[in-house]
Amino acid sequence: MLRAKDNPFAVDRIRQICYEPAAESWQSLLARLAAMDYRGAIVGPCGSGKTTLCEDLQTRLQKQGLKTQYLFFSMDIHTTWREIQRVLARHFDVMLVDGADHMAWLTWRALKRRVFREKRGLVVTTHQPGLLGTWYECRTSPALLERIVSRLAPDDFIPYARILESYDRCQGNIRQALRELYDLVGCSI
Amino acid sequence: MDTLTIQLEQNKTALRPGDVVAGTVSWKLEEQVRQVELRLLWYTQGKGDEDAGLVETMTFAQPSLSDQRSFRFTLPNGPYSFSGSLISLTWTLELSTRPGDNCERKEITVSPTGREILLQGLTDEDVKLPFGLKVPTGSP
Repeated sequence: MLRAKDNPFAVDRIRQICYEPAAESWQSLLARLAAMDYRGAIVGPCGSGKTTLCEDLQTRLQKQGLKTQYLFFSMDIHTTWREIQRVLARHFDVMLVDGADHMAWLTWRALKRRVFREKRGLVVTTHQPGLLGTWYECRTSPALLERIVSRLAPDDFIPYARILESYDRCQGNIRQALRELYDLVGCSI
Repeated sequence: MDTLTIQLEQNKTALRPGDVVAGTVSWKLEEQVRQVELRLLWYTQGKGDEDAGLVETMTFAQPSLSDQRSFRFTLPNGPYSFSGSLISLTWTLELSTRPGDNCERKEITVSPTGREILLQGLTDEDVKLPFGLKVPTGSP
C-alpha cells in the first residue's frame, strides 16, 4: 500500500503547482487586468484551473502592493450577505470572488454595485462568461495534464496513453483526472 | 540565507501520547525579524480535504540574529499518526520566522506503539459476522 502522504497526487502536492497561463506572460496578464481597472472574469469549465489562477493572481497583486480580499462560493458553501458585508467593510483594492456564479443573483448585484461604487477592483471566477468582461479563459489539454503529471511524479511513472485516457474519461477536468491518477498510483503499489 | 534548525532530545521522533517532546531550536538570520515561532501541530494529507490542528505554540520575541533556545511540549492523547491509502495524519514541529517565509519542519510520530499506524483494507476474513453469516459478495 502506498501511504497517502507519499502519493504524488495528494492534494497538498497538487496545491503547490502554480497556474501556467497559455500563450501569455504574467506581466502581460497583469497589464491587461490593470487596463480593465482590475475588473474582469476568469472563465472556464470545472477543473480547468480557475481557482488556482485566482489564488496565484491574489499573490501577484499583493506583491504589487495591492490589498485584496477573497470570497469563496460553491455548491456547498453559501456565504450570507452579512458575512459578505463584513468582508466588504475591510480595506481592499481588489476583491476576488471565487465561484461567483454560485451566488444568488441579487447578492451578486449588490456586491458588484458596492465594489464598483467604491471604485475598487473585482475579479471573479465563473463557468460561463457574462458576469464581468472576460479577463482570462481557462482551457485544458492532454499536454497540460501531462506537464502537471510530470512535475508531480517522475517522467516515466505513468505512461502518456494512461494520462490521455484519464483526460478523456474526465472530459478535460484536470482536477478529476488527478484524483483518478491518485487512485491509480495508490492501488498499483 | 537564513538557517533554522530543530534538534530533538536524543533524536527521538517516535513518541507516545502524553510523552514530552523536548529539544532545542536554533537560527541564524540575515535580517532582524519580529519573532521566531515554534508550533506543535498535526495535519492530514491525501486525496480529500485537508485538516490540521495547532496544539501548542512557543514564541521567541525580538530574537537576536543568531540564537539557540530550548523547548518542551507535552503531547496530547491524540490523534495518532496514521496512514492509509486515502489519508495520512502527520505530526510535526514547525519553526518559522515572522515576518518571512522561512520554515523548518521536523516530523514526529505519535501513537501508543511509537510507530505510525497503517490502515489496511479489510478482507472478507476480517469482517466476521455473528451467527456464521457471510459477507455478501455481489449479486446472487
